[in-house]
Amino acid sequence: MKYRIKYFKKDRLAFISHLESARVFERAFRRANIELLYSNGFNPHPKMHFSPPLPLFASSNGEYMETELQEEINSDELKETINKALPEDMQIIQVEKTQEGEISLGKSLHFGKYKITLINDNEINNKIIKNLEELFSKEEILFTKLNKKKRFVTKDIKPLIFNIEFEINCNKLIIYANLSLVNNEILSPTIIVNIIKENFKEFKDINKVKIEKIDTILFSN
Amino acid sequence: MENLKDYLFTNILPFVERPARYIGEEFNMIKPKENPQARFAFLFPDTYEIGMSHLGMKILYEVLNDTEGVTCERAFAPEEDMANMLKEHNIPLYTLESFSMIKDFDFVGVTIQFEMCYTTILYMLDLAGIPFYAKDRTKEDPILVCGGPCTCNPEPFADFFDLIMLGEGEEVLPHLMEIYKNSSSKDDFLLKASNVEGVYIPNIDSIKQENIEKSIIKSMNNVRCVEKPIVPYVPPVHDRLTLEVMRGCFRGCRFCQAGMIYRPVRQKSMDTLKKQARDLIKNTGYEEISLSSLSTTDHFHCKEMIRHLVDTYKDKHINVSLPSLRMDEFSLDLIKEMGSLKKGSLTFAPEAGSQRMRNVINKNLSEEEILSTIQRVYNAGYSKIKLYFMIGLPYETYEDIKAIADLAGKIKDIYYSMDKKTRPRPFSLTVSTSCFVPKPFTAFQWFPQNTMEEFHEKQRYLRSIMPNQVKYNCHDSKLSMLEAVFAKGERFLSKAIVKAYENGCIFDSWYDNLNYEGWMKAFDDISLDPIKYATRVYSYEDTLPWDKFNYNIDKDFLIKENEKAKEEITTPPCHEKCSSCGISKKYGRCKFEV
Repeated sequence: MKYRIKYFKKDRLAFISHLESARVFERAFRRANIELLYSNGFNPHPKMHFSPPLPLFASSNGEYMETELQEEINSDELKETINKALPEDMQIIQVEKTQEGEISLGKSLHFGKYKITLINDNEINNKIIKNLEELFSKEEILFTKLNKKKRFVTKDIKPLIFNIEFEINCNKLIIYANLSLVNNEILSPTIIVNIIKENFKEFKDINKVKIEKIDTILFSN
Repeated sequence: MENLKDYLFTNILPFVERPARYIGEEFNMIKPKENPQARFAFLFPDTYEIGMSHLGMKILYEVLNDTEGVTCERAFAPEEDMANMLKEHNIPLYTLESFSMIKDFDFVGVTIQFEMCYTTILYMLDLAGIPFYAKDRTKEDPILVCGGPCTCNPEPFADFFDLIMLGEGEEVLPHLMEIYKNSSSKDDFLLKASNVEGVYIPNIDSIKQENIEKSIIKSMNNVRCVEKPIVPYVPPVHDRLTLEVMRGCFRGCRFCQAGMIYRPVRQKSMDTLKKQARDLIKNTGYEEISLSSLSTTDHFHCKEMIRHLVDTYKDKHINVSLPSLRMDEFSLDLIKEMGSLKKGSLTFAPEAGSQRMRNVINKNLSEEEILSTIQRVYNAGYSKIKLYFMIGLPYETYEDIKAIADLAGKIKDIYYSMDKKTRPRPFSLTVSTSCFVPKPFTAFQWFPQNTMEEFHEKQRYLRSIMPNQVKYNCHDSKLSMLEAVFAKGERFLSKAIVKAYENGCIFDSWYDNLNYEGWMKAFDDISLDPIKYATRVYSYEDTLPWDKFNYNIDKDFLIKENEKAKEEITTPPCHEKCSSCGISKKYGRCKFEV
């Protein structure tokens, strides 16, 4: 039986890695005495698939994972039982049984809603919002980075930004961005931060950046 | 402290390596009590990953938090990047449970697991803002206590602690907390505590103690054990459940201090073990359980226990492991029981290459046993083998060193004489030699350590004759020399520890971190030649610095063992034949299972 689980990860647990989070779930299932299905082969591991890793130290109010259990269990019961076995800062929000033939989690991911906060030492001038909006409303936004094969690759990330809004609160620049999570077209919020740092000398040296994922949005059925 | 938490999360943690080590809130972490009568900060003198592998700390954490009116919180040594941030932001070292300042606690406890953690202890006290020397602390400062195996000769660090616990602390600590609750002052507490078995008060002039006896747990079936160990997020070095199966060891290897100071042997019953395993797995969800003790395969019901664990938990994908294996038929059968699909490397510790040497150290293991074990290991599909040896053992000759290389050669021959098509691949044999450190309360306590030059010569020789394809790792003798200085050290060495810390020495036991020059300069400052000190000879008539600590092992027994070693005569393990080591005078005839 396959289950799609939505959970949050916040506060202290924002500091644990993606792999460490996966292990938390594995152990929580074992504590709760709910048997996961394991893969076959030389090194069996539990069948759990997670939505792509969050940026380092980001918290999230809506992450997804899919898992297969050995036995069928009521969704609410699953949620309650596992939550008792999970730490406070990482809890299941909702559980759905996935039907046969439904698209996999990986293919269902649409975009992530992020709140990015850049904390400056001094107050920020409101006028900068106009310049930010201008930069991100261009037809093309190019970003260069090293790919896995250690070659520089330039990509237009404009189509991967579904929405972006800016707000200034004293010394904080707050960015609300909806960024693509579609398979092979994932845009990380850290790239938005880097683009801003590259183009605005006021933010060039900023190092206090807080990234919160407000939600993960799936393609509606 | 809520404010500190927020401050750390925004300004410090995102900028250090693996910040999850400094946040606490792990599963099974205990929430501190409101208004406790005694607050105890437990410091582990190494990083989180190493400290969270340690069983003793887990036991005492639960025992203390279980004691009425007492709350226990943890702190580990931060890595230097974090320590620098804390200093930069003026934040003293804090505990993980509540982000409280360690210096505000009533007690600060340290477990001393190995000799070279002393400068790390000072590093943590410095970060916490607590004076190093007991004589410099006032009633405003916490009471510093310590325990662990190194307390059998606590003199080198005695100047730093108000109270030192010898032996096993599970029952003594709660007892001390009760005394504290009923004491009017720090000095009143220390005076009352000095009458408790196992307690040493080193820094109060008016308290003179002559024969300080260790404390033990009489029965392992009747003592508080770990029930809900904390499950860390950041994987510790040993990321698994540790189930202690017994205390003490039957073998009586002459170099081994733990085998002497943890006598008598006390095993847990099958019922106790089954119940504890069940509770531990239920409360943690761990995927591996390790049966730990000094010599697990000697437990009378070891095979039964492993079979039970494998049968009960295999379907839950929980692996059973043993920390070490003896090179005998029995152990090989156990590997088969555990049916490990993963064929990693197997580690064995013959300790000496020649039969003569093995007899000297009383490691009752014949060459035939070693080679037949290796054959079985290869037949079972394991191809990677690691062998541990010691060099610098008493009465050693170059013939004995050569025997290590000869043994490696014989193992290689066994491998290559197997059918090319069926033998496991690849061939991987690693020989590792450490430098022997003579330890108090062993038959070899009078023996001087080899000089560093002697070690280097032996290592060079062994490397030159080691067969091809066999990897040879040798431990740097500098660290071993320092260990020898402290293992058999005296009170004045505390000054050297402070100077070494001031010279920048910390995390000394991490091989690539050892600041040897810092240590040598520190010894120079107190006019001590450490090499001369480490290689000093004692005679049977001399009073040893640790003679006033009583582990109930007769000195005559150790003398007899040393004389037998010279004649290459072995002593059988306790459960086969009692050799009257002296322990039964205090605890009655050894029953092994209670």
